Amino acid sequence: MIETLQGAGEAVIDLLIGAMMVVVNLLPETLAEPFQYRFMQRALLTSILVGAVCGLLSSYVILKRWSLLGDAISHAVLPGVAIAYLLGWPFFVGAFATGALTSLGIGVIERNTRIKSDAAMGLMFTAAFALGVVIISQIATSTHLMHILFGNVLGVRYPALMLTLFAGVLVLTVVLLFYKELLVYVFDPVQARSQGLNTSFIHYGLILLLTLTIVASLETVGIILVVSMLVTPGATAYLLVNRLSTMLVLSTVIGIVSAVIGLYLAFQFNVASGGAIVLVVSAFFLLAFLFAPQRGVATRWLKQSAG
Amino acid sequence: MAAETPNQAVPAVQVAGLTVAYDSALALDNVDLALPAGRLIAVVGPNGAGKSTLLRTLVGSLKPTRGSVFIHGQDAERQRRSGQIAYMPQHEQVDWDFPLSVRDVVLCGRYGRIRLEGGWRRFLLPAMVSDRHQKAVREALEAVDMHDNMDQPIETLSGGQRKRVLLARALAQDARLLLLDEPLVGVDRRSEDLIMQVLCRQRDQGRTVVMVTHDIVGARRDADFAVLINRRVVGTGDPHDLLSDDMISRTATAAWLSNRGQRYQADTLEVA
Repeated sequence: MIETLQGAGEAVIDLLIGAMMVVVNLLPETLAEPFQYRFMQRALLTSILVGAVCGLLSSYVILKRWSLLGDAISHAVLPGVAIAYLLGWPFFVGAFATGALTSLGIGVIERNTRIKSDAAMGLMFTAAFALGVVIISQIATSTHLMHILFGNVLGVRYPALMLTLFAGVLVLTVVLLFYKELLVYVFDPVQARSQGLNTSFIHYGLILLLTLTIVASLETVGIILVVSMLVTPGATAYLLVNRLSTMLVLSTVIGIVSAVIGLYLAFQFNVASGGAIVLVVSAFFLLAFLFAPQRGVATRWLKQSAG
Repeated sequence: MAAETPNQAVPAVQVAGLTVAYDSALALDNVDLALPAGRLIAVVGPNGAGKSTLLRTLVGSLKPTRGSVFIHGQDAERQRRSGQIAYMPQHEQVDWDFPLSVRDVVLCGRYGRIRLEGGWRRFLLPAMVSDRHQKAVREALEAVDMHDNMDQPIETLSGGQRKRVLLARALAQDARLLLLDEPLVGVDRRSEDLIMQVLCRQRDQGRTVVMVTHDIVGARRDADFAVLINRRVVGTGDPHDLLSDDMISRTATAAWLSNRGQRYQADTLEVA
């Protein structure tokens, strides 16, 4: 049963890679050349998927002011990876478990003490992260730790790719089918309640999607830098548009484009892929910050000096 | 948009033994209350008296520590799910930098109804929902005189316009019960008159309108029924009798006395 599923998953991925390569091969040869390697093809597909799913969710992270929560969950994933490694489980099982547990723990502290959410997050995620560091220092090499912390997209294999694909399809489906419910929950949760929506269910559902996305992005950008992909595309789009629907599309596109350009630059200049991707998306933000049509700092300055 | 004829005998809101606590402080203490259907009702009380807490408990965003809430004689959650409770928040409660247009916000009032249609239609994106809902949005915006601003981003609206958009969202829901948290605060004269006209018309169409307000004079003039609360119910009844200057000053003094020694002092009522 599991083997059939795995076979089917690999077939789907090969099909996607095939379709992707048709497009890539239309590009000039210098651009297409790195992607003739099998590992680069897998890396490209992973980057596109991670860019898309992180980019899409980043709009909600920005609007819900969840940047710190994203940071917290991503750090809390580390002990899960370490424990899964100890027990011989797939890394994402442990990662998802500790990520989700930590976000629950934050809620428990917030509700039962007078400590506010920012402090609850700060203390929970550093504690979880410390546990991860301690376990890993006992069991694995520092190369391993570096890969988890900063990603290693060039070494991505089928299981991780399948997880990323699953996360992507799930997040996209949920956002499309429950667009209205998410909108009303993020904009005015009290009104959402007045219509009988189960807001705690939506709240924890969104946190689980966020956790899944972070786990699925581990190998591409790593624990530390995934926060950037969950914040910067949405922040950039937020400066550029006035409609939620366009913001979601734009942040997804920015996520994908940054991931692809970053991957290409990482290969050409032989630098860390996660870092390269994050630098590209940050460059997009800088451009929007300066030159956004209405809200850009330089744009407004130019308009003032012209008028 | 005619509402069902309400059964006048069944109260719109029936609350018994309602207690709501934040940490250790009681926001509402053993409140018993019956609000008549089809009336315009003003809820009045000093700051910190639990007026907003009462609304939020009816809306369902706060869980009562004790006590029961019935709406139109039914379990409150059932009435919420069937779209019979519309809510208008204070406007600071909402993030006005949110990337939405006026139309998008008012359409939120229809989401409950769209969900009730069931089937695949409930999953449609807002731009695809049927003309019936778009028409309800248009009518609600016409009622508050904002139909020329339909496609304007909400961040560019003035204070009074924001109130009117939030009111339109509640109107678009076509609910039997409207719960409004300070609908007249921070608006200019023109918006205030317009909002009161709209609310009176809603009442005339048979709906129940419950508004939390600081405006004693307005409540005396326009409301059919008043509730004076100060964590407990101080009194209910005809606004002219209940909201006498004497009663108000006694409530304010009582508020001050009962809050003395706690970490905050209730302000006296603003008599406009």
